[in-house]
Amino acid sequence: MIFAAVGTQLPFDRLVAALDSWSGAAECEILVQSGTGGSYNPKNVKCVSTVSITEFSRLCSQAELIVAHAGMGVILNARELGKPLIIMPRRAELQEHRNDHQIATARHFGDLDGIYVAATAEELHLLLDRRDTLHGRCDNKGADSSLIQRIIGFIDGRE
Amino acid sequence: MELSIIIVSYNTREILRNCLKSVFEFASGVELEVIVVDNASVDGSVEMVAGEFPEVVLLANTENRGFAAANNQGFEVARGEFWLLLNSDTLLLDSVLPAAIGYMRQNPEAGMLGCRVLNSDMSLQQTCFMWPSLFNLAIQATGLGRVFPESPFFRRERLQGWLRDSEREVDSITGCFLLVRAVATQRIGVLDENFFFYGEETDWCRRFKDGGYSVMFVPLGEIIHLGGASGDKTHYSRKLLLSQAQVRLQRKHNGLLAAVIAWLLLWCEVFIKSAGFGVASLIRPGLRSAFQKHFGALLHFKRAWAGKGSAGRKKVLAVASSGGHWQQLLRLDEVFSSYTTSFVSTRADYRATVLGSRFFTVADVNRWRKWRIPLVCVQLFYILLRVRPDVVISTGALPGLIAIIWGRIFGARCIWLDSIANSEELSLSGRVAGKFAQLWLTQWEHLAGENETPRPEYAGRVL
Repeated sequence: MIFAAVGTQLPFDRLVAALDSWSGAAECEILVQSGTGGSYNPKNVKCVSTVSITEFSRLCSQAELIVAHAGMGVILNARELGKPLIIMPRRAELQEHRNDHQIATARHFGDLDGIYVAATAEELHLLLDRRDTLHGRCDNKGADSSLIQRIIGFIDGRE
Repeated sequence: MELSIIIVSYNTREILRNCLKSVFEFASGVELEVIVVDNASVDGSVEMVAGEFPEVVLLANTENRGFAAANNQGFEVARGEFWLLLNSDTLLLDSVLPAAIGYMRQNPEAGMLGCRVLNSDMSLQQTCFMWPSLFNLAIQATGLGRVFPESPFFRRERLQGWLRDSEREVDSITGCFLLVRAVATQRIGVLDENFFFYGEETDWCRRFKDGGYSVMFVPLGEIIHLGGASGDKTHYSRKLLLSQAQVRLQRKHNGLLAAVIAWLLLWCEVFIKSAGFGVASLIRPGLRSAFQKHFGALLHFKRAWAGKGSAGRKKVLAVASSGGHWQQLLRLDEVFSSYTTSFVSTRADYRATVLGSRFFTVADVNRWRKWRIPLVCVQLFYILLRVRPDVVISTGALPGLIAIIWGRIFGARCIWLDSIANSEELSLSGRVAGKFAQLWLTQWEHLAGENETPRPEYAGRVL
């Protein structure tokens, strides 16, 4: 099963449509968390608008592959579970977000092992076609220990 | 290991022997360990346990450290998935242990469980109570519970009128038989050693409830508790210790003002009871000892005040909006488990990700929903008032900024960790937060530095 998530704040029709058109030709179950307010009506993929956080974690851990917008929540989730992740950044010029910070996120995290970036529907289709070759990388150790120690030192008053 | 039974022992050699015998007799099918923590008994309890029950883990103190500290010692070595606090003067009567563990496995939201407890004459003992709220204390202060002992209203704190024959969520259960889900204590912590003799279980149960667990009474078995009916109830210092525990509960959970009101209400209670028993003992001399107890307590009532206590763990309030902000906050779990942390987010279902900690929900607010800002300000003010944190920390967004501003007003030290998603420039909230937070962090080295314009510090990332 492929689990796709666009986040809860804004719709992301371009990603849902790209998944929908690929799904028509491929034999693979796709479940899309598609948010609210979108205008695209998918024909092939199954959509839910929002899911609870426990359901979200369950779907992520059941999925063989996760596809998402370039949001930090899903990136962290995928890495904690060691799942391969394809991210498609939202673009401000298409009114998909208020600015292009997701493009920056994709640039900074796209070269991490286990994260694949698809800027367009075509790139997404190519990645989905070779989905068996994609792999995940597990990182469930929490934040950098230097960050943890800085915060604990501050709280304990050691500055 | 399924179950660790922790028994605190103090000069109860013979009944402790019977207690241990009954545990091993009725525990078939449960994989368990028994830990006896002896508080410097002088009656040979330690030798008895070491000689007759070699399978028991024995911790022998050289001084009486009290109930809370001794149990906490036991928890340190306990390996069980569940912990059972069991008094040394109890006897198991049936297979209550496997039944109780089965219940806890089927009901993962249950953090604590109590069973039916009987006196030695097989009458029912009251072992679960309502939270001693100021309202309940005011009712108690009238003394009318004495006049109408069967009244469900005047004795509402004791849940009078309920025969303990049905499953029910309660506010507190006494530690004579208290089954605890051990994993929950990683966040909630163990017993508060500031409580001396009373109140520690009430406080613990309250913290379990605050952490999202339920505290359950379930009539799935029975035990006998010998000491519950006896004990020196006639001396006034017992009344003072009990009153002090109630004042401390208010001070810890509801603040200084509530503690002052509680103290005054309890003073009224002993005053009214002294007067009542004083007059009544003129007619019925048998009531003279009750008069002496309350009058003695009245004379020494200053001792019922609860001082500040040792500070214990620092209180942290961690605030983040939904999605990536929340996920980044959770990556700091190592920080949160070092302190007593309460969480705030904009989605109620997030409680499930921080089970065991206090959790509050506020309305979602962002640049498209600005009209909700006043509501979120009020909600966060209320949360700050409830939690009184030493430290406020946020990974964003706007609700986190508001929490940090309130935090400064409340005298807390504040930390802003700007989202890792902001790799080109700080978020708008993050720029404002720099004016309020004493520790202002970015997760991008190129955004940090010490320039003429203030810039945040870099110490590492969540990913």
